[in-house]
Amino acid sequence: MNFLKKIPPIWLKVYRPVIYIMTLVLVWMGAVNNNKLNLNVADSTGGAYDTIENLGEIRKGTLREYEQKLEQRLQDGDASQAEIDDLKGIVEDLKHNEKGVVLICFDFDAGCDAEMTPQVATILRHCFSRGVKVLINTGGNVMSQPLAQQTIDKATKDGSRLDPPYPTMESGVDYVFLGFRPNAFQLYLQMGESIISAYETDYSGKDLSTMPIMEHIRDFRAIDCVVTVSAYVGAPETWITVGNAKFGKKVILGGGAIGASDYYPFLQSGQICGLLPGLRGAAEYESALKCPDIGSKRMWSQLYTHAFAIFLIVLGNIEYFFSTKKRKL
Amino acid sequence: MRNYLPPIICGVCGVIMMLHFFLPENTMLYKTMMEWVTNSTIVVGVFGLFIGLASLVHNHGNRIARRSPGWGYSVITLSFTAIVALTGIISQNVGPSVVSKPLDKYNYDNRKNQDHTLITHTLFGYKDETYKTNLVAAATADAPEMKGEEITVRKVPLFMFFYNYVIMPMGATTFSLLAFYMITATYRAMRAKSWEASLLLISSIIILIGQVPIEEIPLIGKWIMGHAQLIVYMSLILYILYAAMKQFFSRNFITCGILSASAALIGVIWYYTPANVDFEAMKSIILNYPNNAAKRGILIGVQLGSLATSIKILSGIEKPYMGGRG
Amino acid sequence: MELFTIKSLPLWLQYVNENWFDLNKLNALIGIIIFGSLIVYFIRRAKSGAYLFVRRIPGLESIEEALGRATEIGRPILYISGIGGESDMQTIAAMNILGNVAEQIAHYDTDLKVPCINPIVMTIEQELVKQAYTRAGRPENYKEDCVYYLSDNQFAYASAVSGIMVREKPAANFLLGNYAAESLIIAEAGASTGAIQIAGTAAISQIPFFIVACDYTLIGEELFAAGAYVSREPLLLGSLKGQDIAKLVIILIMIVAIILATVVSALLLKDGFVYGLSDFMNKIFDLKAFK
Repeated sequence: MNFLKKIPPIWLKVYRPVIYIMTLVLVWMGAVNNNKLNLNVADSTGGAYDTIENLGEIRKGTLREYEQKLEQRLQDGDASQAEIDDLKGIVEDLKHNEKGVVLICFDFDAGCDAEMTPQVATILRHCFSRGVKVLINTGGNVMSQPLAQQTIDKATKDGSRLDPPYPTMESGVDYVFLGFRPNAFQLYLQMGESIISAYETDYSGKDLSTMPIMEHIRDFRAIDCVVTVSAYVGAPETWITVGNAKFGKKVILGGGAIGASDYYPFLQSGQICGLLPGLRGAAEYESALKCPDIGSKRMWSQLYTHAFAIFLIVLGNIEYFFSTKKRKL
Repeated sequence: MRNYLPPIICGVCGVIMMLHFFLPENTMLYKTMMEWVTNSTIVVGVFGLFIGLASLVHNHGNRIARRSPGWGYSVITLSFTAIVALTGIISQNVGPSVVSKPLDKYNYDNRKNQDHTLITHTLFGYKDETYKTNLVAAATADAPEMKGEEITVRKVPLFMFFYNYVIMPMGATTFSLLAFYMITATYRAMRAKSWEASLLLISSIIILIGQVPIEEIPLIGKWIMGHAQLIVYMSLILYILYAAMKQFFSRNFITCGILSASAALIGVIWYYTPANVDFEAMKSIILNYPNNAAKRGILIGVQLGSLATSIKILSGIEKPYMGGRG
Repeated sequence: MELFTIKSLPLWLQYVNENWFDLNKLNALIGIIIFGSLIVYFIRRAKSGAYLFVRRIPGLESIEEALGRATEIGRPILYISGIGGESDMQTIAAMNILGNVAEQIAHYDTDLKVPCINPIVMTIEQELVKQAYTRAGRPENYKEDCVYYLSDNQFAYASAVSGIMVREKPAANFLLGNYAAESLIIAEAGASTGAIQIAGTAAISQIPFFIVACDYTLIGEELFAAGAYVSREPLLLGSLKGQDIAKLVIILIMIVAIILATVVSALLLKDGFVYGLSDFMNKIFDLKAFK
């Protein structure tokens, strides 16, 4: 029995490297596991999925609202010609792109790639598959651009894996990658006036005004939903302030699992309509879309490490229980 | 002048921004102020960049000059700052290209469905040109399975080489350290030292289990989740009975009786509750109710604190830009 | 029933709403006036010598202990004001504390290291520390390169700070300000060197990591109260008290609004005084109350 008494001091010296090695082994075991993972879709992810599915209806609702507003202003008789023309313009814009228009804010860099790229990639595939026009920008970080470009390149060619499948998407026609501009908050407000004047060119330098997709997406009112996948503190709040509070648009948030728990109050109050918490959110979205990809694959690593964490908590409490018992004696 | 000019500038700019918040958005004044604020922020930000660079060079330069411990790292820092900055600045279409590996294999289902793209890095500059070619030799060298297939070659600048192969992997590596630190922190910190710590422990276990499908773990997953209710209730009853026993031996019979009755009550509840414990539902309840309540409370307090700090700075009570209460 | 519509207002008010003042934000203006008045009132009370009670905050009580320990061991003190920019309230709160801490450090003649992620924050903190040393009567002890810039990349900064902690082994680490994912990396690196760590942030998701890895943690509002707590200046204490009273007012409004909303939904009211009052209470914090 003497050797049992030697375990605690030895364990205290070696527990860190043992835990690190076990974690590494479990992550590797998850990475090589190619089986499908069955996940239930939570309400937060379901809300995001349903919003993208129903973008057409949302757009029709917005069109009706502006038509009623135009009619009201015409009846009042005190509106200026500029206001009437503006309303007529937005009504005309909303009649096009009837499947909906989404703005995706790709706001993270390489560190958060593992959790958030699957979210953006899946949402992109969902939008392309349903014929939704997509504008993509990067929020506050210039380093997000190459990562965004890679993710877009992959998603535009992934059409055969979905049902219904989609052909290779064309930049300037089906989507446009706007890139980065400094001073995010002011930029988003400027997008309320004119997206083309805010950005002028897309990421590769082509003039936005020559692109077919931008013909009927002049300002924020022609966008139906904002999806922001952000790793930065304060960036989602900016979109909730600008996108939802100011422009009245549907906002979907994606982010890391840790940061996502901060946004459940906004989900409950209805300021956002969907929340993708980390890798689980991406995997749930892939389940909802019936297109398992890297999100579902990486969940195996998360599953094994979570189980290991639970085991360690139990072990730690048993250790604490016996050590307090010993101290009391 | 030095003492009163900065607070005046701070106060005036603060009042302008406050007035800007209250202006109707359709007015010309609002748009002009918005443009002014945007441009000023960009200009100040750019000057800040130079200050940062100057500080970096000054600091590391001093370390190299004095041969302080670790001065070799300063040499590496400064040289790579210069190299990466220069490769980003210098213009297009100068220098040879370097053929690198094909773009990767995220798609674990079927690589053949992918568009095969070879990335070549030009030494300087960026050119968005793609052309199809049958580079059999290159394909064979880098990816034998692509032999004979058509591939696309895209030229990207060397700056992207640093981004793709240095910055991205290093950023991902540093972020991934969090996983290891979190697990050791979980092991060290999640102990039932007090009732609040026990509450934290129980809610963290519920959320950990609810977050991942434990039943998918091979061999033991289904058994654990199938007997989750048994494990939870038995642990609770045994723990309460153990506490009751301790009270009995300390001659606190009333406390012992209360604890024993609680254990019996839990047994009755167990008998009448449905078969399985739905950890995902419990996780949602914890995240949607107590978590939201606590977060909202802290958020209101933090925002009020920010508001008070803003008022103190605008009114000149606190002057951090002048060295505190200068 | 809509109590507030633009059309129901007089014409001159509608003109003002369209050209000069957005009436939807009237509640914000009233809130600022009330809040500012409370602060001014309590500042005057504090200046007139009234005792204003502030509860004990363990993290702030231990600052002096941490500085003393660092002086005894002869190792430097590391102060990190987070990854926020110069306009971030948490960074400003951290800078306020830095001023007080630097003044105490000047008396002890201990080394202070302040690595920064933002160049503008770096220039402000340089001035702050210099002034602190001057106020303490030790301007000659101020070292030019004690406040320096590392990198504006979050993880590059975290790696650099971890490296500083492991190489220079500071005796006390102050981690105050806005933090994100790098909080645990920095805190665990500090914990592994055995330093005493005092952390504080209003970033709610990072608080658990600091609680786990640091000795003392300031949660949320305590970070903003720290400047007043440490310096005990009447102006700052008065504003802290005003802030607390404003919080109390908000809580009371929320309680009344909850009771009224419960009564309205339980009795299915659609009109009347109670309904109108409930609607008004619901719109108090709404920035789109006027349609």
